[in-house]
Amino acid sequence: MARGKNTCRILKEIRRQIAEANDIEYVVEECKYKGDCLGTCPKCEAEVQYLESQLHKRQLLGKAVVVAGLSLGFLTANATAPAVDLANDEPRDNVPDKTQEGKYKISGQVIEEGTGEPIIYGLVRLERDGFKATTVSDLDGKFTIATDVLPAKLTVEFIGFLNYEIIVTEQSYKDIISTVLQEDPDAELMAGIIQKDSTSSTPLLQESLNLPMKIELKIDENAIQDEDVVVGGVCAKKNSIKRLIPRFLRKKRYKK
Amino acid sequence: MSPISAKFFGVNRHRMAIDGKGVTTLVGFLGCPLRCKYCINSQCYSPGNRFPDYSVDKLIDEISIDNLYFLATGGGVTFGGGEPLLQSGFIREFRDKCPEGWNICIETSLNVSQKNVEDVAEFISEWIIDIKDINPEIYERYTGKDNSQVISNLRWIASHHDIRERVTIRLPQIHDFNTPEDILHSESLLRQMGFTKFDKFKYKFT
Repeated sequence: MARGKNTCRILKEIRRQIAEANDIEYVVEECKYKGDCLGTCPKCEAEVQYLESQLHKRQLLGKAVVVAGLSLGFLTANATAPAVDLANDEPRDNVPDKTQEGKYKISGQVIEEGTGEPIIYGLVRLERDGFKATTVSDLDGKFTIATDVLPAKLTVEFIGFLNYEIIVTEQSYKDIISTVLQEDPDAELMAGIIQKDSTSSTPLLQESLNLPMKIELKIDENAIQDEDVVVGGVCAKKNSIKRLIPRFLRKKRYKK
Repeated sequence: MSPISAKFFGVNRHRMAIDGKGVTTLVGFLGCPLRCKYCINSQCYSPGNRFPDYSVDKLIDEISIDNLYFLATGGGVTFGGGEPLLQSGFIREFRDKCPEGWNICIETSLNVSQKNVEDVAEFISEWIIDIKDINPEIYERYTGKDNSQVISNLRWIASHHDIRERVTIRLPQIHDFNTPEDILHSESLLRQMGFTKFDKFKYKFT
């Protein structure tokens, strides 16, 4: 019922804006109807038809009529509800993003072997028994994925490239951290595995380990044939799902 | 030549920025090539005997009562169903006859011939494409059909920049059929094609 009343309120305000913009006399009255409301009623319908007739008269008199886009911003600010299920009109559950939750935050950057160009929207998976997290690399090829438990297998996939796999362990993390802090804090970090340490009073770990792990993807040579086109490494094969990559992405062409 | 007509199972008014921007009226066509396990509009499979035939003029007459709301908010008509693109000829005639300023939005599975897509592509202001899941096995298990035509149509749309930027792709999480990881996999592939707008949510069913 509340949703219907809200719809009525919004439509009434749109009618008021139209009337005001076109110098049409229109008195906004509060709706006193008490029962279930669908958002409109005979009185509301009569009001909108009245406005239509008044606007038509203005047009016949050669006067300007202002309607298009009048209430563009108003609707966004007063939407009845968040995104709803189409048929049931019930608020929908959004898919929660849990990729950033976890004791260990593993960050990296996916690049093309040889050129160093970032791989955008590469698929990144972290798996172990009973656990799986997935994310995609951003416009700089960077990603962050988290887990509460190590070891876990990190896999990076992108069309036209060989899959990249690495086992991330607590020990490899500890070795890296101690190496960086004790031997050469300024050394380039080859694996940016950051442990979120809730007991630590300083953010030293996260700041000093701010270099992402570099993951170089190698082109899958077996995926390339004479007529195939490789784009920043993306291989388009005829009649396969890999053919999805549109022409505008194509930059390079490889031939065997 | 007989005028084009179609049957609808529902006309839903005053939808607020749910399917297309602004105030929209959702018009649901009968008929669909898919048989989704959790279809919420299964009345669209009906042979249609109890539903009246609508000509384009009759439909325009019926929904014109909301003309001012469409114009003021940048809204208009959203064709859904069922599968609206099976009636691409009707939609084309509707566009030719409807008042200027109405936006026409499509909610589709895209599991139709490319010609159906091409028939309407130039004038659809917003596409909402529910691909279910890009994985062919998951898609067939859920809908009973294969998705090769969907992928072909996505490729066609992706190759037309002006159409591609009007597309929102729905990626539903479907209980017992796919997982959040599958959704991310679909999103990754579609982003690689050039699509940028996604709507991720869980199918809710009772």
